[in-house]
Amino acid sequence: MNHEDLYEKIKQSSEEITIPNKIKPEKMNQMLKNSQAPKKKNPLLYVAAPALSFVVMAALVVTVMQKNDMPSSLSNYTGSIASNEAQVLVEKAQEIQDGIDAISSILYPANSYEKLYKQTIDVASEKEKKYYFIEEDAVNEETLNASGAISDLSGTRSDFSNTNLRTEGVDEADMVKTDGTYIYSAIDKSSIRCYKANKGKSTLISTIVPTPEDLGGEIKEIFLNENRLYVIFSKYESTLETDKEGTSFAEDIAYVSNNVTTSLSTYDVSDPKKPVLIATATQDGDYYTARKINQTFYLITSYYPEDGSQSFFDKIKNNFRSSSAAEKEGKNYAPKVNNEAISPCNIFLGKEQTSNDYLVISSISEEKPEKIIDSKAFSTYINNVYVSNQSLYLYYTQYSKNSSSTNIIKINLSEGAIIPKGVGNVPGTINDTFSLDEAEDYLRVVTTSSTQDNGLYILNDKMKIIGKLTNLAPGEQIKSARFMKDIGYFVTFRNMDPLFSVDVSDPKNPKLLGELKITGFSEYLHFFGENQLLGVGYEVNPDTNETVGGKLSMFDISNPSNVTEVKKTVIKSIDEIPALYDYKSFLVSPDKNLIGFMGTDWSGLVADTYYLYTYQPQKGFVLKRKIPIDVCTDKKARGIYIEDYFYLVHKDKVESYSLSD
Amino acid sequence: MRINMEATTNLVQQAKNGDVDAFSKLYSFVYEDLYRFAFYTLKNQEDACDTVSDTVLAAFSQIKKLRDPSLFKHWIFKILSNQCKRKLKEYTKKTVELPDDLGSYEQDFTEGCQLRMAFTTLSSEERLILSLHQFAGYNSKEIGSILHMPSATVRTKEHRALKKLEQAMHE
Repeated sequence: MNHEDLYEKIKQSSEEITIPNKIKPEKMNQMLKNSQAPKKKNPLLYVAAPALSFVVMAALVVTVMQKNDMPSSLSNYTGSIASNEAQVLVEKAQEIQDGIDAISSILYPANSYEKLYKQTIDVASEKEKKYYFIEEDAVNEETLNASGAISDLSGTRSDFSNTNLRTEGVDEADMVKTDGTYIYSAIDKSSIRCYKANKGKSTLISTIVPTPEDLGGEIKEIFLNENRLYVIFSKYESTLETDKEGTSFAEDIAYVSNNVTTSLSTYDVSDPKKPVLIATATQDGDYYTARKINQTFYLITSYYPEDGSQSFFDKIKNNFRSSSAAEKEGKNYAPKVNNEAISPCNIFLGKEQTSNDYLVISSISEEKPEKIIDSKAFSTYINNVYVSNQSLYLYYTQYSKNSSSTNIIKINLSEGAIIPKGVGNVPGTINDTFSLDEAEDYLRVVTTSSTQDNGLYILNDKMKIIGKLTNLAPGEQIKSARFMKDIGYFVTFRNMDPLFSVDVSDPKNPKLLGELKITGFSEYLHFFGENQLLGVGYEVNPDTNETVGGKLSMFDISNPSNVTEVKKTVIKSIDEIPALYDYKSFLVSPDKNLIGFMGTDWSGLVADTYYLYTYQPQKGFVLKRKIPIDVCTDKKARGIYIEDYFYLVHKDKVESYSLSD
Repeated sequence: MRINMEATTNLVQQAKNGDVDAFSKLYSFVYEDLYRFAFYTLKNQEDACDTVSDTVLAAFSQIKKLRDPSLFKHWIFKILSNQCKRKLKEYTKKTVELPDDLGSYEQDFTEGCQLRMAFTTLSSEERLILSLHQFAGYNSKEIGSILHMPSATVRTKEHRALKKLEQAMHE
């Protein structure tokens, strides 16, 4: 009997056995739901300035000013100021109203906690949830369909590395940050280590550990700017509570309450030996991501009000029929920022809401890091976000039987104001955050449709498609994309790896410029110096379609119509490049001529190695360092440089290497 | 089970946001194979159920770490195989013999029954290798990374195990 026959027999024999009831999906569902008991929140009074009252306020200001009798000389003066202010308020109110209108096809403001209550209950009690159509289609476990990564070819003037960013000018929180003298590392998640780096020598000088009341939490990521260290921390609290409100349910029922709160804590590190906590702002929900644009932080969390234990929903269904009780209870479901429930006018419910998930976005200024400037909550799950210098785009894909399309919600971020701008829809799915790019109010998006056609779509500021280029590389899938000014580059993959270049200078009429076919595929693209584009991905044997190893490619893009692969190197000992899922862990500096990333070797004992390359036009990619990494670091090590030294920051130590030899 | 990749991606995203129903749906695609894997590896029904339950809890709490949704099946099998490895280790320390449900599953002498009985004669490592191949769909390189041995060794051991299985069936 050959092996296949034997395996077939094993398979057949295994299909005869009865699967025990207790591990059936519905039982596991119950088990999971029981394992996470509902959380309960204390209602707190909150007076917000909802969108509607903005209109009222503006109108009032105008009226008051008109009725005021003032000396003509003065009134000319103050009058102009007052009407300007009134004008600003009216415009602001109008802007908010326009934003609400613009996304009204999918989201609308709750405006009252009663509405929030009702919708939460409706969604939660809908027992039969609808799922997306599942069709017979193989899951290809071989092809790693990863995200790409990185900042533009910016290059800071100071001689040390910054986090690899998606958008130049939009800072991103990460686990390791440096100011050129000190290195702060939060890799360990339970403390922040501060090292002093001096010509290749690094000394641990202080450690920040959470206070006892913060136990049960986790340090997520950090920002560093001008003697201030900003620490993002998520706290997971579980407490046993009894119901004291005397409802029809037994009063002595106790349940576990779970609460996740994310905070942004500001430390003064002007003396890094003695960091001083100076402010903390909090927001409900688990940390999703954070950005900093100019002097404003945007903190994004995912929030789920109550998690669906049946007894809990029976209780609320039976007891909050009256409008005032519902209003009161609904407030408990609203996400809180700095311990105050977000105003119902700033909570957007879904037109076709299927889950009680919210994405909560708050803005916090560097100047007053304890204060929340603005907050919005959107009832939507998302695939990912893309943040440009002025906008936040949230996107999620919807599936129907034979097609998929992606909704993109545009939110304007302007000095802390978070204002929805519109919602657009493009066919297909979006690979990652690099597949979207904003330039001068236009959004360019590349997508792969369910029939595996690829397309480029250009949307205007109202999120309407005004230009497109479709039918690119049918049967293939977009693996990476990068835009530079008027040219977009993207890589698709099936067997070969075509790199496409597209002219998007005329938004109404994008043009395909060129197509380059090479083996393997790049999952991450990064502009590397003038007229060069770096691709990081995997090499594939075109005959067997098997991955051969990691691959670095350098493309000459001086003529976008005729892109060429000038150099490449294949690293056979790499089976996986974790940075392809986490672009922030790449070190790419065209100025310093450094390319650093981690590679995983799956053969034998799983081993991680940090690879540091430099690029020489003649020789191509030259390996500078190959540093073994302890597998236990959870693939989180970061490589940075300060002047002529390279530092590899591990969970509990920093290694350094000279770059000059 | 063959699953549409886009739908999986979507469900994984929802599960990452804590949606138990979405996670249960994902689980429903793979649970039969998960159970068969655990049962064939551990030979004991009770332990197979416990291991699958533990895997579900671990997977749900860690799904945020799953970077590529298309690898969901691959990923959850990795968790399960580690749980099974731990269980097998526990067995070596235990003095009490566990009931062998796999070998005494049915009394009639069908081919399936014959195979299951033959399967119980394999060593725990051999059962693990064959289960990883059959139910988790791993190749020898991936099995090697789980069992910390070169893929060539995996292939040798797999070959030997299958041979042993065939012989045991004809005894």
